[in-house]
Amino acid sequence: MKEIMKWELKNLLRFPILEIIIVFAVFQIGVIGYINIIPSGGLSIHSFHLEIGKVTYSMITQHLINSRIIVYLITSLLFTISFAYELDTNLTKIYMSYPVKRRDYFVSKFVGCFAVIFLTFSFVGMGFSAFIDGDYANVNITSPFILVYMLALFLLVFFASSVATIIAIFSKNTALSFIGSFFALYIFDSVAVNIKLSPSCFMNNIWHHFFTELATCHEGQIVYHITYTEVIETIYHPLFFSAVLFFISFIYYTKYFEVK
Amino acid sequence: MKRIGFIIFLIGLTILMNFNVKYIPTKSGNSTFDLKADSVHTDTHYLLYGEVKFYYSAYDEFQGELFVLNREQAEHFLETNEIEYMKEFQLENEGMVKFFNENTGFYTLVIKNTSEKDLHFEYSLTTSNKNIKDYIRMSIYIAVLGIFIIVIGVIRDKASKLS
Repeated sequence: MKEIMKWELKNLLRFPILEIIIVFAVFQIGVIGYINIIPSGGLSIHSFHLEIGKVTYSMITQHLINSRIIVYLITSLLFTISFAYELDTNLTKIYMSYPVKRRDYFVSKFVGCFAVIFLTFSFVGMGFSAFIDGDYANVNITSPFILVYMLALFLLVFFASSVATIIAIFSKNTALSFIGSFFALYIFDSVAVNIKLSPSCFMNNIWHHFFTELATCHEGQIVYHITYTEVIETIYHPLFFSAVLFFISFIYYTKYFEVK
Repeated sequence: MKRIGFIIFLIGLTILMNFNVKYIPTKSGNSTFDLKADSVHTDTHYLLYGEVKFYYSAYDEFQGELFVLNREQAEHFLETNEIEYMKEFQLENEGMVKFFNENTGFYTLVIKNTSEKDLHFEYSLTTSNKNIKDYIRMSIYIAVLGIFIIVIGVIRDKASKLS
């Protein structure tokens, strides 16, 4: 499995795929948006730093939410290259002729593509948080609010990846997979705005929960009242739906998929 | 190494392009609060490089002071309640004060009410949308660093071929 993963990553990180992803990520995330005012009177240094991190990642997460289309485009492209294109060019057939388990082959491909997108956007977000104010670079890079940005990113990429994978393995065609998965994601996102499964809905919910609600100040310490139940309620629907799609793809690929 | 340099160069170039083509908000929201006699109010703002205009208004006969603090000064103030500042301005009733900010970043504004009355205070901040000199400088530094790494990579390759 390690070897397949290495090969997959080598394939995905070849010139100029990584460069394209980085440029798109920086273009979408690397710009100054509205940064909230921090009422800092009476805060402890720790709480003051927490608030700096909060407003910074609030802005960066907002940029991520606004750049969903780019994530859809990159996800459709990578998963098409990884699944459908390799079927078209008979590479999958060659690999299947080796003593490779289908389960390992599928998981390596999925995890490889997912990791490339997730890590690129994570590092771009962290890098930009350091870029916007050198004085607070260490504060922003170590802020716990980075986890909120990563949670939002994880859910978005997992959702897009699951949809792209299922379309890629059922269509078995490069053009159909790329255009189909991109438009399926785009249309679903645009039409189903109020459904909890829609990325526009769950991403905005995460942003509101973590960045705008439930904080009180007590003797200089800011206390964030975010309960596990609320977090689970926010992420449950997209996580469950993405996991179901992933398992359908996994079972189909490992048990019923025919390589012609 | 050449590839890493190229990626850094691309990052610098993309940020440079971003700040030249995308809109950057230059006005803070209005901040409104009650300010008791002989007390201070503290807010932290993200300020762009260049001229910053501070518009304020207070009801009644107001006299006060505005202090602009950088990171060290803000943290010192939070720890000790003593005000060390970069800039100081006298405030009266309502009006506008402007100052030149030399570096983009987070700055803390301390508003002190020196009059003997409790009052209602309101202010907003604006910066010019052309004030992106800091971002341009930093993105050019990143792009140049990328080119520098590419050149080192090329030289290394040539040196290893010669040897």
